[in-house]
Amino acid sequence: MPTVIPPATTDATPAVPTPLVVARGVVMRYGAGALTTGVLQGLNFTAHAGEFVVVVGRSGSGKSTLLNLLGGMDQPLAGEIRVGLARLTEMSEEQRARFRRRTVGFVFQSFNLLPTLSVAENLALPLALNGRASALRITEMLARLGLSDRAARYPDQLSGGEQQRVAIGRALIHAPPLVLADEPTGNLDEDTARQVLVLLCEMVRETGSTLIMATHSHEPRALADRVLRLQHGQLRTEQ
Amino acid sequence: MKLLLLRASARVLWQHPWQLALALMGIATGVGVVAAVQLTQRSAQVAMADAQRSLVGPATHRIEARQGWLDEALYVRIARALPALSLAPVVHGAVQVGPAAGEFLSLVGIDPLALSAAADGAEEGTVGGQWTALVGRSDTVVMARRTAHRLGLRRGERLHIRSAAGRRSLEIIDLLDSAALTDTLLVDLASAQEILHRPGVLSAIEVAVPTGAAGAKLAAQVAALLPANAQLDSIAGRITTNQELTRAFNTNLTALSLLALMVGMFLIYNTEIFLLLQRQALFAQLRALGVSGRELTVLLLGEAALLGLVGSVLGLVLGLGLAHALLRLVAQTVNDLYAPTAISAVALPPALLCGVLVLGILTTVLAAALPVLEALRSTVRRGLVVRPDEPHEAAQRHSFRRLAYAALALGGGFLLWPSRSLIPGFAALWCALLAGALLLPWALSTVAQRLVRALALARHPAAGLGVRLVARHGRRQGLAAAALMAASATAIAMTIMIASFRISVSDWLSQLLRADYYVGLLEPQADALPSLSAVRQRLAQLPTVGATSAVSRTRQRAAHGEVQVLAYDLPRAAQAGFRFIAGSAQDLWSHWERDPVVMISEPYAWRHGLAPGESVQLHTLNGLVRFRVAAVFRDYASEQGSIALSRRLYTQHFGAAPLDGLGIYAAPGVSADALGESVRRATAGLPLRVQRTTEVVGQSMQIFERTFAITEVLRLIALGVAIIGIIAALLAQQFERLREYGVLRALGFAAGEIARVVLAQTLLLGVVAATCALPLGYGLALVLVEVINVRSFGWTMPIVVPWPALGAAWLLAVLAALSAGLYPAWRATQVAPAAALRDE
Repeated sequence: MPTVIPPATTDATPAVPTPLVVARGVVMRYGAGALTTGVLQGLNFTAHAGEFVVVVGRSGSGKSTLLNLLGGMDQPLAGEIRVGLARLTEMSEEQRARFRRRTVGFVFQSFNLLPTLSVAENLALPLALNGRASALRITEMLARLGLSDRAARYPDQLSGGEQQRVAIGRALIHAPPLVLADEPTGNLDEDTARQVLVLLCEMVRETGSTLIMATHSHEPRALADRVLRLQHGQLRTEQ
Repeated sequence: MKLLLLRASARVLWQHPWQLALALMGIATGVGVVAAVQLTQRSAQVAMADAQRSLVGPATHRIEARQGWLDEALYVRIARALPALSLAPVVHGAVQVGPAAGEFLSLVGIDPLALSAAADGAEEGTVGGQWTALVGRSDTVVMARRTAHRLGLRRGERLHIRSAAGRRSLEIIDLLDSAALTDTLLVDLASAQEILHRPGVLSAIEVAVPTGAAGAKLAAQVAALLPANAQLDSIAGRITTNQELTRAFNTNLTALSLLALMVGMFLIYNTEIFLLLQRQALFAQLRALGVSGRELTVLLLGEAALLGLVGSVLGLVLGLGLAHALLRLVAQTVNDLYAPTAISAVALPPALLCGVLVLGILTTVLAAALPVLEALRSTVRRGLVVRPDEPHEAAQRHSFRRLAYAALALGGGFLLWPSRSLIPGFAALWCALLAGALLLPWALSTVAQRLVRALALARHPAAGLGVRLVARHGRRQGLAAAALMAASATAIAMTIMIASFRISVSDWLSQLLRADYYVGLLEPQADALPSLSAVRQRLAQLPTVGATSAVSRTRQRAAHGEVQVLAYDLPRAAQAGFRFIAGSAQDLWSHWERDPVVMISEPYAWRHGLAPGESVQLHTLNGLVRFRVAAVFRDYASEQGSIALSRRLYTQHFGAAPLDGLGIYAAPGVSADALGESVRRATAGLPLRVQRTTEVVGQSMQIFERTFAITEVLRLIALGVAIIGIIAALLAQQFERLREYGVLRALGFAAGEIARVVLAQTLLLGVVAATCALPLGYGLALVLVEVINVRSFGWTMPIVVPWPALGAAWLLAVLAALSAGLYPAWRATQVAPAAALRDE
């Protein structure tokens, strides 16, 4: 039976009854010996269903590492991470893979669309993995993204903005409870970045997903429910 | 600056040690196989030549009787007439050692003093220079250390032998280390005459004449002194003839080894593409800094030459090891088919080693040249933007197709070229293989694109993704699959050829061997045994025997050179066993006993362009005589071919010849078992081989299988190289697509699903390669059977397709591809998504 973890008292977030994401005492280091770098040092974090949290911090502060840990792509050296009822820190890699396919949508800075798949196929993949293949859902998503005429194209035949829109569609098509976005506008010009950001926020709101975004940009902060700064391996609420 | 460039480039290589190792492995394996086959062949040739020279020392010529023996008075006469000439008389035969059923060894009687005198400067280990200890001791023997060891004997011990003269015991006074004298007993000449019960006669007289005009004059003087039934032959010519006999066999082996090198070339090409792709950004940056395309080309081709050198040196080491293993198989075939020769040591001629080294380097540079030029061209086109996906793959596949059609046209040209040489035949074979290999990426891509439509991603995410990977980026996999296809097609071609050959030989033997039992001499040189004529007479009187046939195998001089002449005494039942390719059986058999007609074997007809109605000329006791060719008979016994005539006609023109084999036919109502029992009883105690027909066929088929054992090994090696190629291609793809695997893991692909993505690709590669190999293999088999075999051996055969074996070959190729995918699939499952996407 999953255990309900009470909100951490030292958390930068005010206590809310039903947190979706809970991280407690998370420690992560890279390297070995004298070259060891502490990235996360006993970090605590909570995010609630439907919440939009922005994490800011300097390059190398551990933002991507945090997202990887919350998405079950990596395991912390110490501490505990729970998403919904899933205790990620107690799961095997295979269990976390199944967790990711159902629960998480990733949006990356470099889009990371699969070059061997067309736009429609990139969108179909998460549905197929969850056994929920639906041509109608793909058509709707293409229309929602404004890419209906690009369905058969391959990623290398799209502009950067179009690629990121496909990536957003792929992250949200199966309506995951948690969306993790790592610098989603980092590779885009200002106008395109704004359009992509608005699209992402709208779609997240439509699905009711929790969005945790790591970014250097100022614009997302205005749209976020909370802004946290990652510094010295700890999260602090940004005023 | 070149050093800087080299350093920048080399660091990338060091960062990918597995790719580097695979490239070196590809070169080493290809070069290793070629080196092994070349070293093995050379060792066999050296051993055959040594075997000849060891017994004759410095002799250049040999005097032999056309039939029977030389009178020893001839030796005295020549020695008196030409006192300056070096002469050495020799007597040879066979003796049995150990118990009654013991093995036979060759006994050679020499005159050590005569040979010593002739052998000033004789080579170390040759007979002539050393064995004066034999003089005047009638109970002594010198033998090879290896033979003595096998028989459990040492120097000073006694060897017990049985011969025509009864039992004898010889003291072993010396042991030789010469491999060429294995299974040979050396005794004093007089002892040999005594042991073999052959007083006053010689088997041969070895003659040493100087080179040049003086030698030729002396040889002519010797020839003038010879009686009609003796002839003088050049021994150097015999060594050449022996080597000529194995030429076709060697050519086939060389072609197979070059195939392994060709498969290795695919591997090198593949690896080179990967190594270049890894450094494309580096090249673009260097170009941006002002390094010219020519400088980069020189750098990269120089690097390929260096890789080729290292790989080739490793290949030579590998080849040496492999040569030891192959030597046994080649020795077996040479002994079975050509000449009894002890081949045990691998020869290492420096020129051959250097040649193989150069071949390895050139092959590597050639395989690398295309990707190098292509990479530099695309670097210029794309500047600093490096995209691992190849948008111009389709265009390249198109150019591959054009090249394939050109290769096919060239191959067709080689086939139509009016030549009897093997080289155009092999060139056609290679062109067909190359065309197939060039067409495979297109075939693979076409099949994959069809499958993309059939395998909906929604239902089969892993398999669907694997298929899409092949459809979009099939070039490298296509080339790896091409290597597999080349290996598989060759295996199929060889399978079809061997099956066709096996069935043809089996049919031919079953047809030809009509007698119930066959009787022959146990050893080819067992000329000390009672004559088979006497045995035939004895057997003919048995009530169980209905008829007998007999054959004498002799070598005679025809207008164009020496030829095997078969003198047959054939009852009607035996005549029915011959199958004719041209001419009329009725015409032949109606004139067989009465007129100067012969039948010639298919290889002989092919080699000399003869047809029924034409004639052959033979040097006989009555001078040069013309014989009409009445028919051409099917024969797989001799590559050089033979002329067959009736024994009556033979005796009329060449004198009586000793019999070499008898066929025994059961009398009406007598069972084969009863016949065998009576024949064995009648020949008990004689060193004769009495075999039932089925045993003869079985033994012949065993020799047949042994002949092709080496091709089996080479086929497996080529397949092994192809498997390495696929592993290399898939691993290279993983390095390139690490991020994609990371993305898939991030999307929730489980390890098993990632493995299925990789295995779906290898399965598709394997199935397409194996399937395309079937028609290609059949085409290659046609060239092998209809062109190469005819030109090599002069015989034809109907094509037989062994479907079960082809199914097995198909399955083997698919399994090879799947097994090649196992390690890359496992590696793919180990991709840590966070690490793969870390630069996010």
